[in-house]
Amino acid sequence: VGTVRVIALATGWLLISGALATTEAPEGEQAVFRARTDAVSVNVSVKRGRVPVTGLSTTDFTLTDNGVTQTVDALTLERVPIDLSLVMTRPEGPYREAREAYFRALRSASSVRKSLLAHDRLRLVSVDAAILGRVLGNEESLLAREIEIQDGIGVSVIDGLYYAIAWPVEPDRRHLIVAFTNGWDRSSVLEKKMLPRLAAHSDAVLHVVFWAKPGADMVGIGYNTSSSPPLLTPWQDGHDAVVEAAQRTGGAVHNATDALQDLAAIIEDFRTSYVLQYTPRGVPSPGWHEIRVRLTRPGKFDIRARKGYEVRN
Amino acid sequence: MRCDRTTVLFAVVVAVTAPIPAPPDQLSIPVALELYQAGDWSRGLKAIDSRALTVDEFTSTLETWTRGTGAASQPRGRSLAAAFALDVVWTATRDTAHEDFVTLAPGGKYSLSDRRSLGAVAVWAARQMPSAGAVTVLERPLWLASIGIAQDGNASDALKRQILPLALARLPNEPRLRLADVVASADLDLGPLFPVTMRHLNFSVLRPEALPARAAGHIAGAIRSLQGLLSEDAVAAEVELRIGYLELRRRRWPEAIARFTAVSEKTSDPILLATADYMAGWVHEQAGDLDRAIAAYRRALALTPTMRNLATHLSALLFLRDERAEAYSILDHALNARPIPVDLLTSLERGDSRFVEGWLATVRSELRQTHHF
Repeated sequence: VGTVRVIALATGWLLISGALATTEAPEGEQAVFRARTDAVSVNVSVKRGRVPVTGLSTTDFTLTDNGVTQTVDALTLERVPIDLSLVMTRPEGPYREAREAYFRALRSASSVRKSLLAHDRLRLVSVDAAILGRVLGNEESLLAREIEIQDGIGVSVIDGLYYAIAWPVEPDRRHLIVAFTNGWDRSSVLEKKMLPRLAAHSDAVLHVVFWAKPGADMVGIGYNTSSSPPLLTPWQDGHDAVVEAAQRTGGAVHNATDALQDLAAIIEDFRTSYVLQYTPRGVPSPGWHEIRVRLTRPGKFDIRARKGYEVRN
Repeated sequence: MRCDRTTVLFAVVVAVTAPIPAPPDQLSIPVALELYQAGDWSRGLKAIDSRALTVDEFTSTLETWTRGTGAASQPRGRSLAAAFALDVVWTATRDTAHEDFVTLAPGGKYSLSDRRSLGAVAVWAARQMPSAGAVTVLERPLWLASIGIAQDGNASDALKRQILPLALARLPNEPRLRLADVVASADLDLGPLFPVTMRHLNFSVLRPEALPARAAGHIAGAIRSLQGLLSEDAVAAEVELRIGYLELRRRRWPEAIARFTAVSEKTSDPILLATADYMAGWVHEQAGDLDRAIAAYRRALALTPTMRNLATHLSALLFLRDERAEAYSILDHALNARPIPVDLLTSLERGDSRFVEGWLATVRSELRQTHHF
């Protein structure tokens, strides 16, 4: 089962050419599975309250693809190494409240190593007008690294999140992205509507921690709710695009009340999530495929999974 | 006589090794001008404390110098002052980002290192140029440099109303001046490619908010004016590119693509070719033809491999097509490039500014040939 899971991650949820088949293993070697034409992998988090629900099997899940019930071929729940991409989008301008909120989140996030295991990797993506990303060494301080980065003018949230999403992760690892942001973006190259599309194509799970939101306060960019629509509308658009992108990956949106606690909970949630694999049947391939996952067990569960995937013609 | 790169390098070596006494740290403008006149333009230009000088202080000192030396009455002396002024302001602003447009100094005065000074000094230099008599060899590169410098400073109004009338009176058939005139008019009618409030950001003009539909009527007029220059071989490719961009702005995709295709048939200039393919890629993307979009972006990226905006567009399309390794590689390479390249489309906004270095080198060479140095 472990081998299947690894291949499922390698292929991702999108369609890969080739047919699933058990090959004849040469003597002395383990049998391996080849990628299948239409294998789809879905990260699913199941919790009761704040407690992850473990011990589930394939028969406990009902999964529909565009409304058509599918057979779950494989289910894994295994502690595999995580690539954690921490995306920090900086506040634009000299606004004290914004900077304080941002650095509060950053200081908390810098303790993230406590939640990582030996083989996990931490990657920092710093975003202002420029976008810089790299894997940090074990002893490298996230806080110090972040402060090194030169202030720019303008923030490219959409581009920065796409850069995080596009990070190529090895087949035997899983990719979790946690973005600390206010969604304020005036300098991305990509249009805001592109981000959810790109996120839907990703194998990563994106969580977003907002340290400020449009309309809720003025710490985001120094403007408040009485600011003119030309300022607030793009901010709201950026915020909404980020939220939709997170939802499409099966991630969630959080408020930065306690960034460290948020982060630890996100990582734990990700570690204890299931990976379901299925082969779509009875649904035409091209276009958007909406995925819905439910539990057959009685009771009230909080189930979070990617919203779907897109297949190009 | 034209000046090639070897000549310039040789001249620089000679100038640097010549037994000219080392200047003090802070030179007065006349001393700097003397160094410049002596052929030691490098030290002359660097000797100016451009951040401490306003444009008015600088130009009035130059006027005093030309009057004091008798150069004011001599066209050559005034041309020398104009060349020096253009060279100084160009050098002083190279390290100044365009965002400094929005940092007004107290009282609205700004220093020579502020990019707004580019237009003001270009106007001053234009007024020093001869207005009668035979056109000298020095004049053409000086006029062209002043145009490019004003374009670099986004000074369309000064160009249209103050510089180009003087320049065209002297060189009425110069294609680049005629193109600059049409472009300045279009800028005034349509607004700048980069809105002033957005100029300090990494703002791609290939975004919906940068393509205001309100300008449709003016766009047609600008296209008609540009079409009058298509017969000028020297600028025909750039004219095609500019028409294509205007067609793009009014969302006439086939017409835009036809123009971008024509660019490749009329030039081998990598900047024009890359810009045409970049915009063609964007048009194909808008039209939903991702294969053609990717092909065009790839051609452009081959010419400008670290252009962030271009790389981002291409990377996103490749990612959507599940060509993930390449998608990431292209984006990562561009994001890590330093210095950060300006967007290709600034070649449209800043017009001839990309030629200014060459023209100023020609000016120095001509000054040397005509014994100004």
